[in-house]
Amino acid sequence: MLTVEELSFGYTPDKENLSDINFTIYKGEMVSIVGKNGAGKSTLAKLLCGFVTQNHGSITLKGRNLADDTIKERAGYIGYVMQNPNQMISKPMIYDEVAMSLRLKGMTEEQVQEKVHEALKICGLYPFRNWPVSALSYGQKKRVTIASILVQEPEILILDEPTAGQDFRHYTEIMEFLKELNERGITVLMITHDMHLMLEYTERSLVFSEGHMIADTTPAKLFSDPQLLRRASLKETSLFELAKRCGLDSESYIEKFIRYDRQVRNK
Amino acid sequence: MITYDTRVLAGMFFTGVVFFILSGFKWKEVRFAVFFMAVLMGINLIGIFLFSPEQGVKIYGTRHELCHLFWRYSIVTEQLFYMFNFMMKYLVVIPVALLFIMATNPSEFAASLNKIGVSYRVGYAVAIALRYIPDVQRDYHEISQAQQARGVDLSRKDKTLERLKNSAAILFPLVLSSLQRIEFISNAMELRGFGKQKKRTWIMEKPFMKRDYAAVVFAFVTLAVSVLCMFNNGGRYFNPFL
Repeated sequence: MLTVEELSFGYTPDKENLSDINFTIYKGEMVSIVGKNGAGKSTLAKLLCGFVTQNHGSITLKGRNLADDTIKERAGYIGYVMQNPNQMISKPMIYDEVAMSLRLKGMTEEQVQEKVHEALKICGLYPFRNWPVSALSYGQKKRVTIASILVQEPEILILDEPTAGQDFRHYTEIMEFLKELNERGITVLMITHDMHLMLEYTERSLVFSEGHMIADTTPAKLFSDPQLLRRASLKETSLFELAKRCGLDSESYIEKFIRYDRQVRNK
Repeated sequence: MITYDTRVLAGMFFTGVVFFILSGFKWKEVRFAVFFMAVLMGINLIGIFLFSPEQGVKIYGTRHELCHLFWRYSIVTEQLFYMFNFMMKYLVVIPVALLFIMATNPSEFAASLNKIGVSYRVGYAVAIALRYIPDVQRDYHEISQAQQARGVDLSRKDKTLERLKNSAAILFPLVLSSLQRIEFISNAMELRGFGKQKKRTWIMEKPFMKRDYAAVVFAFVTLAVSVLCMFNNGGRYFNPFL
């Protein structure tokens, strides 16, 4: 659905922050983008949303080149949830915040209400709809920003560190929620540092290092390749370490752990 | 900066621009700031004309009317000249001020302030304020992009009034994130025991060098020249109308 070809970009002319990136995202995928700080993950997201313009290469969505689309136009099909919700929220009330983009499109107030209520229900914020934003926790604010992007009905959702600063309960909540969205047919791209998240929730990983994409593989394969891990400066999860020390097959052990963990949690 | 003497101002402006060019900073880096100050200057000039359209006449003592506009407003050569000098004052300050902000390492500046006897708490506050200008700028850009992605149009396609109104949408999150940053920093400083002692040391402290003395001398010479011109003209203004 989304194809990136030979994409290069640098904030300053003498240094490329991203060079020669190629990949294709298919509809309904849940993909993680991993790599250490400064590897170019967020820059990639900004390029996809049109916040910055590439020096070279192309981004195509369903066969259409996005080069001439403005940020506003791209927002109609690619939603970007920034890491810091405080940078996105601009209205004091939750309802107004989520309704903002729809009102700016000139929809009638009834249409707006219907869509906003739906988005708030999906995000589990419906009971809070008349609350001020300031009364919410960080995780809830994060969900407000996701809701305000969802009302624009994007086909691809990009999330920058969706679980940063969340405790395990909220982490699970957000991730299960994203999984649900994904099952509704929205393609999800996640930028993350969390290796467990990558293993548990995504079936494909794009690995970035120093502005290059060094791998496009499944998370399990990534972990079974220590050399690749080292190049990307990623750390194996403690589960992986545990399996290795006990002499178990790490891949199936982690799989079993996640499955069991879910069973127990859903009780 | 007491003089309104056009010749002195022109000289200082010229020196300032030369300094700026010598510094090697790019026009692109300061474009936004210059534009912002130009707007402020415009508002200021319009204000002067609206509130005292005959200020120049009072100062220079003569009146050469070019044409009458309406009510008490007319275009007078003296007023134009006065406003031109006023603008020159801005222009003199802008390149030097920009240079100061861009070329000064905030920590070094704090150390130097402390050295000349300013309380280190004050020095540190100034340093932090300078230190966060680029951060706030970056925040502004990110927020503006996020808002555009939500359908707030800030691009050139929109009407100016609409754009101004939409800029307000950026201010709210900008203020919020700035306040949050203040909280973080003050907590971090408290944790490190800032302000508990009367004195502190500075890593960035620099000894005075020859060129520093040269700069001080240069500053005094400039001041002396403008004061001399003041006596010479018999006032702060250079009057070509007599």
